Amino acid sequence: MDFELMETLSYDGGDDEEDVKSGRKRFGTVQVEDTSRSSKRQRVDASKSRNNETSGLVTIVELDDVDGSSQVSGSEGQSNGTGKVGEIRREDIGAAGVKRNLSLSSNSFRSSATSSAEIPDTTNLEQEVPSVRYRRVLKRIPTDIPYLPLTCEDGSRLYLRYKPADSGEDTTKTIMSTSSKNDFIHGWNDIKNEAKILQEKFKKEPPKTVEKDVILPRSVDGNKENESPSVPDSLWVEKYKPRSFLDLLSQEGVNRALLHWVKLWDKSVFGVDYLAKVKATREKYAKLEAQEKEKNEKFQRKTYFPLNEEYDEGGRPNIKVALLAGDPGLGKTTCAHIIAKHAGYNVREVNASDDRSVQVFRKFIDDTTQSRSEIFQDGRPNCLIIDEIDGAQTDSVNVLVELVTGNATESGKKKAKKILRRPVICICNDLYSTSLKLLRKHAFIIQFPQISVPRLIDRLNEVSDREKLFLDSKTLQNLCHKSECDIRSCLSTLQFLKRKRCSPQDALFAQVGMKDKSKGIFAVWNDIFNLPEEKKYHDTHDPSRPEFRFRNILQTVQSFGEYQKLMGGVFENYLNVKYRDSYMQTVIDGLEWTTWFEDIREYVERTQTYGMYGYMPMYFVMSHFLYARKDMSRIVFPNHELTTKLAKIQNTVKSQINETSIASARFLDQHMLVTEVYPAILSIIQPGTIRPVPTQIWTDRERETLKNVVEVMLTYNICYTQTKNPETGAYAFVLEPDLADMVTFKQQELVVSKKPFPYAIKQLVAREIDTEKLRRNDTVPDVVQRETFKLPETPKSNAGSTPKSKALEVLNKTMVSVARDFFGRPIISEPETAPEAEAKRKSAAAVYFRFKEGYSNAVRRYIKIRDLA
Amino acid sequence: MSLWADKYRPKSLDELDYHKDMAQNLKHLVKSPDFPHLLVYGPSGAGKRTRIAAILRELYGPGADRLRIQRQQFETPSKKKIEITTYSSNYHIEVNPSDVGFQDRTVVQELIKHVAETHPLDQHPFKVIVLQEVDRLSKDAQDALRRTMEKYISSCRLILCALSTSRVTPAIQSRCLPIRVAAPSKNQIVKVLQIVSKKEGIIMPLELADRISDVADGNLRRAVLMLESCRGEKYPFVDKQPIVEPDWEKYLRETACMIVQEQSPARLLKVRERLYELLCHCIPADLIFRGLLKELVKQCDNQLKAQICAEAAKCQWRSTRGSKPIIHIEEFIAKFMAIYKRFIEQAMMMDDFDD
Repeated sequence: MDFELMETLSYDGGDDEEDVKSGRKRFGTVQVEDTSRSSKRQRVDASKSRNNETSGLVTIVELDDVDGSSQVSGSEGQSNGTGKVGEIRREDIGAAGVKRNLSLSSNSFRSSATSSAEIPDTTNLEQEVPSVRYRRVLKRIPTDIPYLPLTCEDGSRLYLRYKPADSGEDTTKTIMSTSSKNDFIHGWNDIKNEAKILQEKFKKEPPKTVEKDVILPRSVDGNKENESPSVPDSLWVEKYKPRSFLDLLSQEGVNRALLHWVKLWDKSVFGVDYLAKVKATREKYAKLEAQEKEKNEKFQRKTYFPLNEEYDEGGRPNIKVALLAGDPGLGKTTCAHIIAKHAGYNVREVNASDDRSVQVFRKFIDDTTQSRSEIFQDGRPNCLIIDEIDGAQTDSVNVLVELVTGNATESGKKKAKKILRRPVICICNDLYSTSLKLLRKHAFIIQFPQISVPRLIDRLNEVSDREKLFLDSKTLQNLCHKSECDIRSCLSTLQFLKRKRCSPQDALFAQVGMKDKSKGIFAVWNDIFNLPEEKKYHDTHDPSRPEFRFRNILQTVQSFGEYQKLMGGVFENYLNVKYRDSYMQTVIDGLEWTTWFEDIREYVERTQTYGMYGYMPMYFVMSHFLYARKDMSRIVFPNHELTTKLAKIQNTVKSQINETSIASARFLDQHMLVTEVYPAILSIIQPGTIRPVPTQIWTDRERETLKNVVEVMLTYNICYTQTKNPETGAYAFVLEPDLADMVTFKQQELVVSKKPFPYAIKQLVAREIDTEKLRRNDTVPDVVQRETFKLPETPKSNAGSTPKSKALEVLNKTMVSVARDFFGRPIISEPETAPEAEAKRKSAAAVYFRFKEGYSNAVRRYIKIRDLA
Repeated sequence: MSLWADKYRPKSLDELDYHKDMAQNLKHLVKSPDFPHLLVYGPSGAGKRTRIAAILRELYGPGADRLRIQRQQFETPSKKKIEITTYSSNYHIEVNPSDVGFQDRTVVQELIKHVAETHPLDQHPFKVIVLQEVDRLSKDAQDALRRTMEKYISSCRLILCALSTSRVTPAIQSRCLPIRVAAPSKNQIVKVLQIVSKKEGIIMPLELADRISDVADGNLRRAVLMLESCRGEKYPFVDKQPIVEPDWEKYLRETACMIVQEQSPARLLKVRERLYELLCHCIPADLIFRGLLKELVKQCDNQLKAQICAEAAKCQWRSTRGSKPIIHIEEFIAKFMAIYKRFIEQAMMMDDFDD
């Protein structure tokens, strides 16, 4: 048997000094941890408490919170899993078993003794019971003071208040464990001796008067207490981390829900049917509960986290993954760790700092949840905690999802289904991140609510006192608000204050403790355009005072960072603000600031002088002071339609200019084309002088005009393409590119000057263009030949040839084989962009047509994949 | 050749219709042994490119007109591939480096090096590189030009084409012989229009030519295009033949009217929508500035004109440096609104006082 006795004795020496003595001895499975802190909390094991019960001591209540102990200690499980805990007056403890009387005034013991059970290490559970001096047993949850919830034999809930401060009484107490006293009796003598020494030493020194009620979870390594308080030994976040279930600051309901879920795994992991026990207890108390409900319906307990409690065929809970979500600093990770430990698991954590690529992640999960050797490492089964899972790749998360849903298969010959054998707790900040989409469906989701301010303040108070900071509760309250109840940030701020020796009031004004939390873009715009509400009661902190507005906007904008995007929104929306001055001075001022901003931005980009970058947020501060109103209308997002349209037109123009015949193109540029040539061309190619009558009765002049139109359209690479209206099924010819769209505007008094050509003429023009194209190609091939021949001479040119000539080449080839298609129509080669032409040129050699009579798919092409690729 | 503007473009220096003195000077220049780098500048539609083409023809003969399109690829120092279209004959190459935006420096450097590496084969001592829209070149590209212009002077000459010299760095200006191609006067435009209509065999009343040359505003290309679209619209010409103007100009005029009608942030918002519409139809910001100013100045009192022009100049200058023209146009309009409104209200108060 392996015993472990850990004893830490310490007492308060002088005013500000602590003298701690600690000892560690290994004895066996019984673990006694004596902490002579200024606390009235005891940790008593279930079995021991039963012992106390038999020795006829104080009231016996059932401790409700501690699910773990029922299974471990073997005591009867009760409603929500319990051990029996005797609540012991300190004076009386000595009555049972081995007497241990350490008359250290103002010292108390935290003793935890566990009996040896089948699974040795899972018994490492501690329960805390305050020794209630003025036993205030409350029926409702006390709000202002720390309390301990208990469930009585009859199922009613009680809340024990911790003793208030200022007890200068004898707090001597003895804690013992009878279940295995024979085993550690040797160790006991050592403790006794040590205690005596301490006792004597302490007598010489004046007792400490002021005490605190609640002991904080303390670092296991008692040596640290020896160090001078001015030297920060470790991060306080670490130092004052909760060590047990009861230390958790997060809401009780949340903790219980998670623990409940973890316990559901007991059946498959430990072979203990936890749910059956729970159900038995529930039945037992069902009647009482119903009565209770009737009595005070108002205070009905709500179940916040509905959970499917059923087991699947393998005895595992139906929902195999828990997903904790909440803002940073709510204690999610701590909670998960403590609960996993509490339920008797060995915690394996993977977080963002680890490599989480799919392969590594899969291997890790397999190792921790599947393989045998890992499972029994350290004697305890694994519980996998995946921290910061929202940062992982979607694929990695899906590995887990596969496992959960049972779709994962063993790689290898067997192809057996892999199943998840151990609980997995995932932790994320953003529950709705896209990577978690699938996981959400299969997980037991627990949203962490904000930590209750009184509880946080209480804990902070405790810390500050222990660290000799002595902050008043108002300061602490302020701190809580500033950090938005982020435990981590609060503790770090306190530590910072301590280190810097700031006066507590500084905390009010200091920038420390502010969370660097970035807002969404609309939130930032809202901040800029809206006046903050006045808060009269909070006069030093009124956010509507200019200096606070200035600072707030600056911070918000700086933490957002993307100034240019922000500026787009400000510029888009500033004209919707209601202005009072009649001469638009505010608008002009705002615009001057905007140009100033643009100047700086342009300068920074051009010269890479990022030193200037820091000035840019000032624009938003100015905007805020110029534009902020109480009643800003809805903020609209800058319109991207315009930029896409601009890009579209620019691209069209660019490609058109390349397709225009050389002789004209050399005299053109893009702007000229859009502003001068296209508007004119639009009316030139649709002349009103052509009558919509059969061509036979056309005058010579009309024929001449048509010829000219075709010429122009060919030169500027404009053509008609036939399209089918999907609704009416009617065919129509549209200009390609759509010039009308490019050069016409929505005008107020639109004079509909031009009727577009009727269909017949468009068709005629289109046909003319095609024939003219073919005719030209017949005459120019040798020119094309020559040009392509020359191309290799210019090594830097793009594979040599112009799109135009390529298109012509292709056309030539098709013409040689078939000039007309099956229906006798000429085959039209569309103008192509360079890559297309390139591809076509490659494949052109391999393409031929075969005429198959009697088949609907008369013309068949055999093309090899290689030609298409 | 298709459009009349292309069809009746003069081919050689002798054929030019106006600025004949300059044509003679250019002819001498071409004949002289030391042909310098040229910087041809002048407003749009004045005939810069026509003159450049004519110079090239004068230099190399009809071979200069045998052009081919090439797509050249360059690699920037950051390994990015950029592509640009060039028009080249055996003797020269034409390129518009501003097509590739801020990467124009690479194009300028590489292209000139590439061309200048080889000497021309025949009797011509140098090749010519024509760079279009030099005023749109970035400062980097212009600086890159400086050294190469001197370094490769033995084998090539540059002809730069720009709208105005104001955006060409002084270093470049001093390395070139500047040739200013002024916009043709009204009479010159009318003369050209008459020549064109005569060649085309149409009867054009003088009144129409007058009106076209008014609207064309010194832009010969526009004048010829307008004549052709009038011809397409209705022929034979009638009295008060409508002249087809580009839509955007009408749109801009209406916008200016809107500004004069009402001065308020709400109206500015409406105007902005129209400005966006113009900008996304590829209408350059400086044309918008010019068009607006022209209309607004017409509408307001003489006292204000100088002030308004100054504001417009300031805003337009800023807009050439920034990348978001809408801000600067809007600033100008807001300033105009403030000035105009204040003036109108003061005038009304004075009127009341007089009464």
